[in-house]
Amino acid sequence: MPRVLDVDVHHQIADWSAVAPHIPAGLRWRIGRKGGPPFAQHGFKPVGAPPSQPAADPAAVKERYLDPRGVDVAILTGSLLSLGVQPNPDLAAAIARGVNDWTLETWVRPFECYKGSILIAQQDPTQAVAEIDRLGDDPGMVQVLMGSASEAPFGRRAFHPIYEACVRHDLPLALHIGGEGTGISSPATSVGHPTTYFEWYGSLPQSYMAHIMSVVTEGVFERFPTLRVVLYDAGVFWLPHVMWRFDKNWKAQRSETPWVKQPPSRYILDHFYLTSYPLEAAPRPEYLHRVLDMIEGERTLLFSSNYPDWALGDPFDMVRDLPERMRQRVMFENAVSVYGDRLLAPQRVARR
Amino acid sequence: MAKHIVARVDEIPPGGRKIVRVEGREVGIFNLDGEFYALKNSCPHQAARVCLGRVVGTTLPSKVYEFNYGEEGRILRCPWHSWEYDIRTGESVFDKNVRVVSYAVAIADGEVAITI
Repeated sequence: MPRVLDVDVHHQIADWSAVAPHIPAGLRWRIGRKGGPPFAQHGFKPVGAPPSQPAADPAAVKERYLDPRGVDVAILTGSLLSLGVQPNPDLAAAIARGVNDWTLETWVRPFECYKGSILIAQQDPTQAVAEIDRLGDDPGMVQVLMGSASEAPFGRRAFHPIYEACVRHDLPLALHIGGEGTGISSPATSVGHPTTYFEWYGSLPQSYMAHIMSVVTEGVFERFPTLRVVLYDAGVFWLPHVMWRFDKNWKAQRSETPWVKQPPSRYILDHFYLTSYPLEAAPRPEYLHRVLDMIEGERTLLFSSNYPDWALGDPFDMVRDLPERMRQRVMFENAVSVYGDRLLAPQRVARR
Repeated sequence: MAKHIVARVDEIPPGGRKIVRVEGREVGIFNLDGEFYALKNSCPHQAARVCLGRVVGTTLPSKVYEFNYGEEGRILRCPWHSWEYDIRTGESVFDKNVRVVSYAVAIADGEVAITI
């Protein structure tokens, strides 16, 4: 069976009483008992098949998903994608710390097949940086994770210490859609709040488009040239538009941001990576092949399953139409390039 | 290749320009502090008459959040889409491979000659 690295397994917290001991007493009482803290919601009931299986038990996820599908290592991304837009920054930061410790203790330490993401609550960058520094050299953690839902575009200089901390620990930064429009977030679209889940979910790549323009124009990659950013769960077809509209405008408008010294598409292709779930359902495989060529997909695309939520289809079916020349790179090698040795070491890779 | 006398030196003061027609094409003659330069009046982007654009300065490549304005009087900004060129070389400020065609200039006996 081919080797697979999966950068996106959404492990879940079934019982918050397991997380509570990892949260300081002064805020632990705000977490509540079994059900956990109240998170600001978007108000939509998701449409689609419910998760095939809950993903709250690491042994069960390994047995039901990783082993039968030949996944050697999975990166855990959790289910708190709106943490960075919760109104109370201290409570959000405490939850991030508690969940990170719980993830290490319950999933990563006992199982060689799991690696963690350092969840941060970016509405307070100072506490977010402290959390990255606290866990940044832990061999069980392979990236920093923040929701793309935000009060402000990520290029703003208030966020730069977060990028500096990622670079300091040589950790990629993962952005994940999902909290858009909730809590203290901006509306999920630039013209306001969507009406339905269908509209909301379809709109989510707008969030990445805005963040990409912001971090490129504000010089994030000039200041932090080794920063790598993984954009989760938004497909790929929208990216060439961003690159080439941006390049065209830069020729005339660069004087406003004279530190943007390369065509914007160069910064984008050198620093951003994309995940395979959910790839757009192009009517012909050659359309997908063309777009993957445009975005250098043989380097930039990473396999992701989004387990356990397969409402949009089986993630292995989604990569069925990949060009054969890219398959091994997307399924395995690109993740090693992005995450480095930490993804496979010090633990042995499970072989079947 | 032939030499063409296109202007008298005193016709084009420092900071000034003159548009001339030579062998069927328009050329802009620029005087930058006493040095003369000749550029084809055609933007490599969409063939606008670039030599009619404003002569300006621009922000030089800088560190993030720093603004260093320079090259005042040496940058030609195309009137159509604001692409900027160094009058001395014809090169665009964003990519040296994108350039307005330039011609050699020679000054003799108070006259400006270009080679086309």
